[in-house]
Amino acid sequence: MGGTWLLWFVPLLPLFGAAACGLIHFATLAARKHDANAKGPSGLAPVVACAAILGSLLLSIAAFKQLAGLPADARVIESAVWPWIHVGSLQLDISLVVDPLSAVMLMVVTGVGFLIHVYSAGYMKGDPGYAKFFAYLNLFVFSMLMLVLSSSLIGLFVGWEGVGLCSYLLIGFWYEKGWPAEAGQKAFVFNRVGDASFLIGSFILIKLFGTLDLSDINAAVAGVSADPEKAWWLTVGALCLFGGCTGKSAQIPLFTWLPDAMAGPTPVSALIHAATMVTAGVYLVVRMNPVFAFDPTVLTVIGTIGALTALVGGTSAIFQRDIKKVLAYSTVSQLGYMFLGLGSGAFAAAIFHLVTHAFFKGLLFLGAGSVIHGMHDEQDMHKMGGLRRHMPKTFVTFLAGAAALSGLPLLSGFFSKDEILAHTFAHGGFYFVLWGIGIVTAAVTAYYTWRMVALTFFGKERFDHHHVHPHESPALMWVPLAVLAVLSVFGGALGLPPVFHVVHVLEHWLEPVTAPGKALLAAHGTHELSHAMEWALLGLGAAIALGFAHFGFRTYVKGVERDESVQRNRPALADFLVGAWKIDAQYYAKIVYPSKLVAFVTAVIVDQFAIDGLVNGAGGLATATGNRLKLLVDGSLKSYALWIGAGAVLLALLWMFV
Amino acid sequence: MNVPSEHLLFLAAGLFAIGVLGFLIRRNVIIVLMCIELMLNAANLTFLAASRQHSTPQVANLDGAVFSIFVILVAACEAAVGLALIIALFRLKQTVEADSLSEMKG
Repeated sequence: MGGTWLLWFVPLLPLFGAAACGLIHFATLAARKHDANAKGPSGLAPVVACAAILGSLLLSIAAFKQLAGLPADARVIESAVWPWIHVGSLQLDISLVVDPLSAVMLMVVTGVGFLIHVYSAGYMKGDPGYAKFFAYLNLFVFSMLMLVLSSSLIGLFVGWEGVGLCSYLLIGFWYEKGWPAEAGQKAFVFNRVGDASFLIGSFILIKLFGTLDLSDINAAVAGVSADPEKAWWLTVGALCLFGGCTGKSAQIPLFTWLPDAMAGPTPVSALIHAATMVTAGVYLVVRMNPVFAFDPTVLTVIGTIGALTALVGGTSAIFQRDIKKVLAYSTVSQLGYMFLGLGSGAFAAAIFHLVTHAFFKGLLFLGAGSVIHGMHDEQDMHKMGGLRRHMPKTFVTFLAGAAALSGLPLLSGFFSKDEILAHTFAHGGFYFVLWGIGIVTAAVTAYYTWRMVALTFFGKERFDHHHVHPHESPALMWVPLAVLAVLSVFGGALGLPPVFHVVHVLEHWLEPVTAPGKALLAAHGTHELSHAMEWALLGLGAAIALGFAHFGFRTYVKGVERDESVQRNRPALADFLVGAWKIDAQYYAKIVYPSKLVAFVTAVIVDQFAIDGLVNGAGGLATATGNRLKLLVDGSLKSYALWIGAGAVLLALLWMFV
Repeated sequence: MNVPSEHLLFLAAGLFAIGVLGFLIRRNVIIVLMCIELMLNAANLTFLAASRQHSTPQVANLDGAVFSIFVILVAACEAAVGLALIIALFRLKQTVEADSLSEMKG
């Protein structure tokens, strides 16, 4: 990276790519006017889009290298500044900044993003909106990079809203079907609730610090402790910001949009609803870690919400039949883990899990997409089975992802999940409860993951052989799978636990970012685990993962009998879990339907009847009066004169007698 | 030569009534214009009667007389404009009947 202006090209390249793909889409539409099946130039779109992301990726790598070359306490690259809003004492500028944290996010977003772009080129082939899809996908990467790179909360918010918009557009990509459009709206509305909270949090921070610059805010936090009123406002502000995270990162109470978001094309689920966008909340908390670490109550709230979300998400995945729904609830659950990590003050561990989760969940979604593709758009696992013979490459890579997700020893998910649980355990007190929830969730995770593997790839072939001919996906699709599989298996090397007596690479790398938060937390006491305890926890995690993975696999490798028997004998339980603890149903019963009723009453009775009646009535009255009065204007000079005379006489009489 | 003022007022009222009646029942616009003149003159007579009423043998009150001079002036203007309008009307319609003017009817 020569000059700082070059940094702007990291997000701008995908933006240009999006514009180019948009133009290609319009050109395709123009070509289709004459010939409905014309492909036009749409074949160019994936090339342009992938090239844009690749450019971004290369620039990110360059930035990363430059950053690594700097001394540890000076690892910041700032871009040129664009002054945006200068009002009174409020100075809002947009600038980009790369520090160790955003460098990690940059690599994840552009790296995984690039692989998913390549995969999409194969997956979406033949779709009428091929070019449009890549335009949206590039626009998403642009927004996500703005979110990650912005040096101020306002720039971050621009990206935050941008990813929400792209999420909406891509969930509803197949809007002709109806329900994807509704799912998109649901996601948007849920995110708006969170975003409102985010904005309120930002306003509180402006009021407190007079700036939205992230590094300024982080530096100013320590000075607040002297003033109890300010400290109280900071706590409220942090909770409001976390409210924004619950929307974007699908935590309780705003998580129910994520499973519905699976209506979008599968690469979208992989990129947006597993690897990148939904982790924005985790990124925000780490980015502003002093704000959240200032009051331990805030962290306890975050940890509790995270643990509960992990449990609710994990248990909801157990009896899902739709392979993407399993992965969706699993994502909710894993995001819960990340927030549990944040709540325990383990910022680096949360980012570690974010990274490994991006690898293995991206892989699993893409693998599921490959299965769906090969099965001719079948998503019901009860109608799959035995696919390992037909799709060997997808099978092997999927296995790697599943092993990582379920936390089998020595894979990436094992280390990252275990680190979070170890930090939670070390905290002690109330955190023992959260740790217990985490352990239960780990067991559940291993169970449903291997249920999914068994149902999809093992057992009898339960599909209709006359209509479905499973086939392996093209190289364009399985090569990204293979790359992600390698990353999922070896990603754990980024953060080996202390008992291995090697440097925790990621934690060391993130040290400059997480240090202020850690320093604040250290005031409330530090927590260290003995090596023996660490070994015990690692062993426990490994045993639970292996045991429940085996249990899940053994139960379902025979077929779907277990699901059927649960459905038959415990229908209430199955309904409860499949419906995600009925939280969404409660929203519909308590909020959506009453709102619709109020809307109907307002629209029909208040608006159409009362207000329209009043307005139309006033107009009608004037018209009717005018129609009567115009009879007086008969065009005869004499009658006018008569009226004038009559009026004069009347005035005279009034003057005389009144 | 000691006519009471009431007589003048009765005469004015009579002239005014004739003017009004003519204005209302005649259709020829020239006659209508003449009727207006009649009404104005009735008004003048009223002014003069009032003026006389308020005069003392020593001091004559000339307010009413001055008013009627103004009225005569305005009436002359009105007659000039009115007659011009009638000529324009005749050129347009080939008639001076008031009933033919009903384009502005609501």
